[in-house]
Amino acid sequence: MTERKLAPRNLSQSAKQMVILLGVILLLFAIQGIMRPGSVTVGQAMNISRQASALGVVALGQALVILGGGIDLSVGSMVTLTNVFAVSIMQGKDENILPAVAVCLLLGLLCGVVNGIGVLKLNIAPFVMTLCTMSILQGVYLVYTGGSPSGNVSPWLKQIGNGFLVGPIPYSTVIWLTLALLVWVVLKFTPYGRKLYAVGSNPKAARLCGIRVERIKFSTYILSSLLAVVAGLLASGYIGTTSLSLGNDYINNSLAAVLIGGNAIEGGKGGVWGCVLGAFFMMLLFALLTMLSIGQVGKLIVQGLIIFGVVAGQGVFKKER
Amino acid sequence: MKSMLKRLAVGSLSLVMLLGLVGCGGGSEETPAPDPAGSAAMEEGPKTYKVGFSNVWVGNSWGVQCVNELESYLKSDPRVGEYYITDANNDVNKQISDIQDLISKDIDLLMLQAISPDAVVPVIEDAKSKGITVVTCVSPVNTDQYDASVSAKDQDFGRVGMEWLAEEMGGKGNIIILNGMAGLSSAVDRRAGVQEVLDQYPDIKVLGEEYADWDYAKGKTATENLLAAFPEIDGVWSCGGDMTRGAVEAFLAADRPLCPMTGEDNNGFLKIWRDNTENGFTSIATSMPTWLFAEGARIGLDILDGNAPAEKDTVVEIPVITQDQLNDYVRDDLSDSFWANTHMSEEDRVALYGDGQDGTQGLG
Repeated sequence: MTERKLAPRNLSQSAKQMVILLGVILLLFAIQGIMRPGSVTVGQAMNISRQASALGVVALGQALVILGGGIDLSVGSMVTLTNVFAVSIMQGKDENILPAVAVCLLLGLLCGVVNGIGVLKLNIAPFVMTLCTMSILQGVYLVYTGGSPSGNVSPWLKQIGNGFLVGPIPYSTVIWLTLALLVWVVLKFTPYGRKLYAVGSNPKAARLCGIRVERIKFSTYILSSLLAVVAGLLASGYIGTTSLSLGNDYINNSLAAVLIGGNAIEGGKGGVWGCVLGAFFMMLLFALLTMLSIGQVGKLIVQGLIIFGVVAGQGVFKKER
Repeated sequence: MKSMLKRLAVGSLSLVMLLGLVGCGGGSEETPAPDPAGSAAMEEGPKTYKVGFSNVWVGNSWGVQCVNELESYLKSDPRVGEYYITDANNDVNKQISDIQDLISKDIDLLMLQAISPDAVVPVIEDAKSKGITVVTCVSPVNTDQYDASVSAKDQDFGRVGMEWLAEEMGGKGNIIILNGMAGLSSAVDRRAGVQEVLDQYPDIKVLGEEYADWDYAKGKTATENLLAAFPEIDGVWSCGGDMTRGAVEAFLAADRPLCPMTGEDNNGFLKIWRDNTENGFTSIATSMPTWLFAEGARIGLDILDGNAPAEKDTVVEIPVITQDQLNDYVRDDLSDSFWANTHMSEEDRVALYGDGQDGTQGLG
């Protein structure tokens, strides 16, 4: 490990991959416009950004964990758990929203701490540890609801999940991008950000430099769980009720969004805006495949091939540099 | 990677549920519930029976109500002396040992919903050889060593809803389809039923089709995207009530007039349906009946009394709730988890689903 590799805080490596991703997104819009004339509108793009916002927020947390050299498989269960608890506490009333959010954030904190202890104090591999928490959380919400959840979110949260701040810009998109901006500022301009990159690219070197590696890694699990709670609240607002299958796709899709966004699975490389684009790309791709009425089998194959193509393209480009 | 994750997820989920079983046995243990009326009847003379039911699991509101309906029935039928209900938590081995336990309790009637058609064959043949009456509910078993079966056909579920939709649309127009889960037999069979009808209506065009996994959010997202792609949608066939709710939300959010959509008899959906009738929304609620276990119990007890049904295998018709019956079924005083096409007594409905309860507490 050279020192040059230790400090790739400037996002230039992933910046090029981001440009490719942006190009692919424009290409998808172009295909949509040709195949379904008139369907490419600001409103539809905003719709997709709203559909992507919960995934995007989860992906931010996932990106932090991956930057630190870990992985968090418990995010999907955390989304569903948040949905189940938030709705059961809210009971459809706005005055219950604060306790609901507080309880969910506490649960998120607890989950993050458990993940952190498992990975860093007990030295369990992140994949295994967060897989365990994932299962435990699933057990918790199945026992809590008895498999039969019911109730509605408060009107305010429903408005956040569905409504618009100004013109066609949805609240949830604004929340997602604000959080992304915050994370970006932290990564780019604070010592914490620099340390996180150092820890991810070479924990040994980071430790020798006097960075408290465990503390940094621990914090990423907590942040990831808390962001999953925020995503769970957004998704709850979007559907307005409870659903035990709400969080099912978040593990796969958040990992995909982060990795497509140019972050390296081995840690230490990547950034925020790539994973923002990654989440948007995923939802746009799903939307396009739905619109084109491709059969389910074809859809899965095409989806896999396109994601493969994007990542492979980025890899080739990286080598050429 | 994706499928491995999924498999891992499923595997670990069942592990957790097993752990949960150990941890909170109270909920999943067998529940012997001597019926006071039944025991009183026993003293007076008429014969009562011991009934055992091996359930798969109560993983959703439909499964919860199926068991509630069974219990409601067993409590009200004076022929039932004692009953036991076991929950296999979707584990084949647990179901086999559950049934062995039930047999050792000297039951007269064994009812089961088989997880696997093959795995339970030896144990139900054993039950049969011990003179126990065997009734299989909902899912088939690969043996003829049972006395009766009761089920409803998913294909009919799809057909009945689509027939209504086709007539409602005047036999022509564009529809979108929200399917259940790819590769799951109930979703595939329902879709096959839809196809039977579509084949008779060449003027109905399927614009788009999405497997939305019976999920509210996915149903809503898919509909949003299809709405953006197609300016004219005249009908929605949906495999389940939650997805229809999502579709209604998406139509409203996009400011598009609500077209006819098929739904389910779930109270949450019925409320949305009722609230939107003034916007010109029409629907039909098809049911996968929640009273199939209860019906199985009735048939089994009749067999014990010497009144076997003419046909060994009973396939019930898919019940529907139509537009003009809607107000008789929708219940504002009961929770969204309630399935309206029920055979339970009014008292039990309120006890289970009143006061915002979701039925999981059971009849106790």
